[in-house]
Amino acid sequence: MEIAFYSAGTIAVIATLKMLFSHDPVHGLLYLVISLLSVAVIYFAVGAPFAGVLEMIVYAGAIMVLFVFVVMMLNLGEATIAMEKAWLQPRAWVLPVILSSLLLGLMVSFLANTQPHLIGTDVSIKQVGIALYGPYILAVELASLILLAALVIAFHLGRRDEDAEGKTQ
Amino acid sequence: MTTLTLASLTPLVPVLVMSGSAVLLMLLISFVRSHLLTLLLGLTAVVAAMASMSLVGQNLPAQVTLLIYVDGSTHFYWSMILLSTLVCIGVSHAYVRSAPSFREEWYLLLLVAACGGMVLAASSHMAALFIGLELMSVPLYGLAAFALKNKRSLEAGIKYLVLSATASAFLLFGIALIYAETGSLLLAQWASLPVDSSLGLLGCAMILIGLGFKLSWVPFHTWTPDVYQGAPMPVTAFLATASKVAVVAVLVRLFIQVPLWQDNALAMLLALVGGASILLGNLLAISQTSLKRLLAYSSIAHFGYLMIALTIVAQHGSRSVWVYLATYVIATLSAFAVLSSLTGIKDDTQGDRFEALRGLYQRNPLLALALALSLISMAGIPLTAGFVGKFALFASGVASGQWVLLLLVVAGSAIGIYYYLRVVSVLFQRGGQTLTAGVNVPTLNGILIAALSFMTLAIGIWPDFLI
Repeated sequence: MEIAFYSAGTIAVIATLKMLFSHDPVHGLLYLVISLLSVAVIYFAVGAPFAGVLEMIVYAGAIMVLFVFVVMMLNLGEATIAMEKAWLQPRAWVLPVILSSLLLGLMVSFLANTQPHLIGTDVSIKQVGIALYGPYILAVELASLILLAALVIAFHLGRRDEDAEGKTQ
Repeated sequence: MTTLTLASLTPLVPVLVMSGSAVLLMLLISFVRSHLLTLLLGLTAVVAAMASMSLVGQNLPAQVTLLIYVDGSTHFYWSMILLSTLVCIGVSHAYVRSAPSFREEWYLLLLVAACGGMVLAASSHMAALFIGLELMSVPLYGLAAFALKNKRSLEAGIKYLVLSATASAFLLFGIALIYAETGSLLLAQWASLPVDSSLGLLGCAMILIGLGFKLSWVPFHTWTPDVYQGAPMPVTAFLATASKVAVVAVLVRLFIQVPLWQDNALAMLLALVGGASILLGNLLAISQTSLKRLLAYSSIAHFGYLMIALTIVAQHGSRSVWVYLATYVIATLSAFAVLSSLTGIKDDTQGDRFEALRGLYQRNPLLALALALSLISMAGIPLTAGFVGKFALFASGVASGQWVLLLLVVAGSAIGIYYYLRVVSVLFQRGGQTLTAGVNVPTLNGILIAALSFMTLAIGIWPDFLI
C-alpha cells in the first residue's frame, strides 16, 4: 500500500507540473484530470474510498464538462478541425496515457487484493454519513448556504442583458 | 456535546436568525420582487439578531457541537459585524435604487456574508473556520462585481476571487500541516503543539498568510486598493469592517489558544508584517487622489497598528484590540455611509475623486461635517473615538515594551494626520466644483450617519463608556 501511495503521489506531482507548464489549455485540462485521478487513488490507498469516488465524480467529472464546453465553443469549421487534429498529436497524449494507465493498474491491484490500508480499515460510506449528520451537521447546513450564495451570484452574473430583462419583469 | 439538540442551539440563535432570514429573503424574491420589502426584511433580520444576542447572553460560554464556541468576546465581535451589516444594508437602499433590475439579491448576499462572518468569529474547529471564511467571502465576490456594466467592478470581483482562493489554499495547507502534527482539527487540541515543532511553525505561518490576506497586511495587501475602488460603496464598507472584524476575532482566538504563536520566529514575523503595513500603508496613502484608494491604504496602516495589541492578547487580554476595533469600525462605517449617500451603483466617482468632493461643505454642510469627523477620528485626534483607540493601543504597547512598533505608530500617525486633513481641507474649499447643486441625503442614510457621528463623539468625550 505504501508503494501505491507514493507512486500515485509522484504521478500527481508530475501531472500537476505538466498542467502548470503546458501552453495549450486543452492539454492542461488533460493533465489536470490525471492529477485529480491520482489524488483519488491516494484516497483509496489511505482507506477513504468514498472520498476517492467523490473526487473522481465531482472534480474529474467537472473537468470533463469543461472539456465538452471548450470543444462546443470552438467547433465552428475547418480551422477548428485542424486545431483539434493538432491537439491530438502523439506528443500530446502519450505521457497522459502512460500516467493514467499506471493509475488504472494501481486501482485494479486495489480491487484484486484486500490487504489492509494505511490507516487499517476502510472508512465506510455509513461512517461518513453518520459523521456528517452527527457532529458536523452545522457544517453541512452552512455549506448549503455557500451554495445558495454561489447560485444567486451565478444567476446574477450569467443573465444576458439587465436592461432588457428589467423591462420584462 | 457532540450531538445536536434543540436546546444546545440556543447560543447560535443570532446566526440562525441571519441565515433563516437569508432563506426567507430568497423565497420572498422568488414570489414578489419588491425593493422596499427586501430592505425592510434585511433590516429586521439584523435588528432581530442583535436583540436575540442580549436574550441568549446569560448562558455563556457555550460549546455548540464541535464546531462553534460562543463566549462574551464572540458577542462583541458579533455585535460589530451586525452593526456593520446594519449600516451597509441601510445605506444600500438609496445606493442600488438606480440599478436597472435585480436589486433584491444584493440584500440576500449581504445577509449571507454577515452570517459567514459570525460563524468565522465563533469557530472552534478548523472545518467551521474554513466554511465560515468561505461563507463570508463567496457572497462578497458577487457583491464586488455586482455592477456588471462597470468594468472596474467586474475587475474588483475577479481580483478578489482569484486572490482569495490563493489565500484559502495557503490557509488549508497550514491547517493540514498542523493537523499532521497534532492529529486534530479542534482548536482546543492545538494547544498541545510542541514549541519546537517545525511543521507547526510552518503551519502557523501559512495560516497567517491565509488570514493576513483578508486583513491586507503588507506582503498580501496588493488587492486592497483595486478592490476597494472597484467594488460598490456599501460593499467596500463591508469589506473594510465586518470581514476584517471576523478575521481579527479568529486570529485572537488562535493567538490565545495556541502557545506556539509566542515562538520568537513567529513573533518577529508578526512584528515585521505589522511594521511594514504601517509604513507602506501610510506612505502610499499620501499620493492618492481617490478617496476609496486612500481609505484602502489607511486601512492597511490601521491593521498594522492593531498588530501591537494582537501579538500580546495571550498575556494582556484582548481589551485594547476591542477598543481599537470598535473605534475603527465606527469611523470607517461613518465615512462610507457619507460616501454612499453621494453616489449610486451606476457611478461611484462622485464620492471617490477629490475633485468631485471639493466644496462639499457648500453643498451639504452636515454631510461634509460628518465625513470630516470620521476622517479626523481615523487620524486619531483627541475628542474623537479614534484617539481613544490609539490611546488603548499605546497603553498596551508600552506595557509590553514594543518600542520599535510604537515608534512606527507615532511616525505613521503623523503622516496620517497630513493626508486625512488634506481631504478635510478639500471638503471645505470653495470653487472648482462643477456640481453646485445641493445634495439630498435619504432619510435612512441621514439617521445612520447621525448615529455613527454621535457614537464617534460620545466615545471620544466619554471614553469610560468603552474602556
